[in-house]
Amino acid sequence: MTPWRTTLGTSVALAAGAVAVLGLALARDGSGTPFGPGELDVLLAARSMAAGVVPPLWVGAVHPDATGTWLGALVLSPLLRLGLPDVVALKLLAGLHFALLVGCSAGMATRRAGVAAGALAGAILALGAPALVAAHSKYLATTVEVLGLQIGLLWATLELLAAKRASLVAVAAIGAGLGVALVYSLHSAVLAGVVGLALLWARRDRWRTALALCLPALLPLAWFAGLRDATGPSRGPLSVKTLSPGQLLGLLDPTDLATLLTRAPFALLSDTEHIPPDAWVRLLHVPLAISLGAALLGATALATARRLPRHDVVVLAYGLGTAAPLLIAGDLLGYPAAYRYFLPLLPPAAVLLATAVTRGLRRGPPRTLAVSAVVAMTAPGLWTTPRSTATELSRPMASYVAGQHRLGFARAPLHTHFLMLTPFVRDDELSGWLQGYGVHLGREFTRQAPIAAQEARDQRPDPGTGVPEIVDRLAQKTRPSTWAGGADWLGAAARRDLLLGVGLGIAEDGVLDAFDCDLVGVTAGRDRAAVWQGVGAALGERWFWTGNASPLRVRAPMAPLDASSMGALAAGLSSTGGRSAPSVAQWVDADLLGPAAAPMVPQGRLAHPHPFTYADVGVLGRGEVPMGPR
Amino acid sequence: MLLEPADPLADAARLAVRRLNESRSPDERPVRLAVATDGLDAPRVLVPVHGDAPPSTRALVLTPRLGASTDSARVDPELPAVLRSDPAVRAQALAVYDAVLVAGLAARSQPDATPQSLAAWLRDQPGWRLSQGDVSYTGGADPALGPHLLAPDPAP
Repeated sequence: MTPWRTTLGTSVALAAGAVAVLGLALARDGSGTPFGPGELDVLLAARSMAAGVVPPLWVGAVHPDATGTWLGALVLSPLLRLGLPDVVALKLLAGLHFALLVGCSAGMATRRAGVAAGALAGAILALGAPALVAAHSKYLATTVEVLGLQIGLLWATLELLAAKRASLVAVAAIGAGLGVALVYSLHSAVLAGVVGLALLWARRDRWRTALALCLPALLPLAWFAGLRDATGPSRGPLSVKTLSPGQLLGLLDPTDLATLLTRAPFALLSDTEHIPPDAWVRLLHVPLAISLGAALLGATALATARRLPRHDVVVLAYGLGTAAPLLIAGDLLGYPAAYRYFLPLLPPAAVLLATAVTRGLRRGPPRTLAVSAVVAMTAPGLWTTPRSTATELSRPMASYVAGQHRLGFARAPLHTHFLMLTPFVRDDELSGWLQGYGVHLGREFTRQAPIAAQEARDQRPDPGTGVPEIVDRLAQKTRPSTWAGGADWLGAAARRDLLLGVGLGIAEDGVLDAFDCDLVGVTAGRDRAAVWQGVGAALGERWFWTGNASPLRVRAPMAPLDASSMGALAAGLSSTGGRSAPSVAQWVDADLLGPAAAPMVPQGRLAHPHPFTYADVGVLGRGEVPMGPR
Repeated sequence: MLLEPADPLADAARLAVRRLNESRSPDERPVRLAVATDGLDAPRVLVPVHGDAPPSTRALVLTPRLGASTDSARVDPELPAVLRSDPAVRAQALAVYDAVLVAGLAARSQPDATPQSLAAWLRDQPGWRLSQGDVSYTGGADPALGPHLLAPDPAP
């Protein structure tokens, strides 16, 4: 065992190196676009907490299952309260999480196999795995951020196993840490299982160990259970990504394994937005990815033959366990962040690889050669890592994305989620926030209104049955004013941006059905022009990305557009499709065209120049949709 | 709600409150129902003054119209079967349901209201199509198909 002083020195040095690498990447790539998707959501909840308004979980979390984002906002809020600029506070926390991850991994390897092993593990994670740098370039308080805590707890467990006498207090401290880690991410359940089994396996006082581990772990979980607001939306006791365990298991499919295997060689580069998908430099990271996989497989073989040291078995069990969520990720291709589940495999694999190279080989040429080979495999990171950020959003874009994340819960008043966070939106974020929420509303209205109408018909089979309309939730859902009135609490100035977003949302599929036409019909004047600008932007977006110039399909009678609506439609088209986009006459039927040529006056700016980029990414997979100007 | 808690009619009141809370706007308060009895035969709905618990004579009082069901009546599809089968019971249930709806609509519209301001708000509304039929208080406190409204005189 390496002495503690040397271990901690190595750990701190590697952690500092990781912060330096992340800082370089952020300074190089993140200055104009400091945010990643979802990051502003955490920031809004943190601003609310910093102002003394602690939101319930269902409002403060990015989505109801992501309780870690609420906790992350809680951690962020004191920094905001101290007056740190919001971006600095976010990146500071991200850097600390990355430092914790690299420092603990390096420390764990150093303790078991010497400084060289620690340095090697740290270098693999800080330099050889751009995906880790990219993941930590934004602060979301999800599975990525909890990794450092997980590795720290794993390391502490190994130390307990190695100690001749370890008190129950130390076990209880690990239990409390596991409880916090479980609140951050359900992914920590893997670690909880591994730690629990390892401690019970190694200790004689099993009952007391189990109690010392479980009771402190339950405290943070119980506290969070108490935070669930009784007035909030009801949901099942356990769900992952808003799916129940049964639904998740139902998604498992053998073909997922093939998808995963094809993606695994490039796992070190997942979510690196600024490296082109076809860049040759990506291939240079494949040898290290294969080596890390080989380290896991080799350790598995040794463990099967009972030739792997007990402590490495624990690391291996954690490494293999963290691979399990990837099977679900294979079916979540539509969920852009699903492949971040590759990341938890990297630290245990790096520790096992570094340990095997430095401890498994005798001193001399073989070891020197192996260490040199691993160092060489991390070297491509010198080129790629400084470009490895996942922060592709400016502030208006980030607020647009955050607006889209607001939820409309079935039995809670529509707009509540949006309105509860709106007071904490900055002036320079408000336009994007409103447009993003409008897109969400437009999409949901198009999807939900016909379903609600059908449901209402099913529930009212005869004239003698019915809910009074004033309290009828289904009737409200079919009423356009319920949806389009989302900004009415915020004043007339807010309405234009929201309705622009609504127009984008209802025309995302290139179709205006009868409900959409009703919605257009309930607006007038500038409001209606704003909706048509959104419709134009949706058509322009479809043309820009897919080359689809098929006319807008209108499935209900509609009056011809007036001059301001024509101008707004054209402005929307050119704002996303570019000046080379087909003219308005090609997009709408002749009977909708206004009698006079309308002036092509831009009616306002889109917060995100390509508002459906993420929808496309959701369908095709990030990295398969071209980014930036064409 | 002044009613025996175990009375099946209380379920009609609870259903009405559920409908109210499902349909409220973000700026409207959730409505809470307390069912108790004061020993009198006729059920009544009291909207207490904010912070006034137990409700006193300062509350807005709505008395369900417990007459026979009309042809234009519409029954909530989730009204318990025990309240739907017998026409007389159904008429009572709809009366309670409507009274709670009117009380809840008034209560959720104004957070810190007085009985007089709630009554004035009800008189200003154009009226609604409720279970028993069209209800409006523009013409007085005793509509033909809705609950009777009683607001105490303001304190001198």
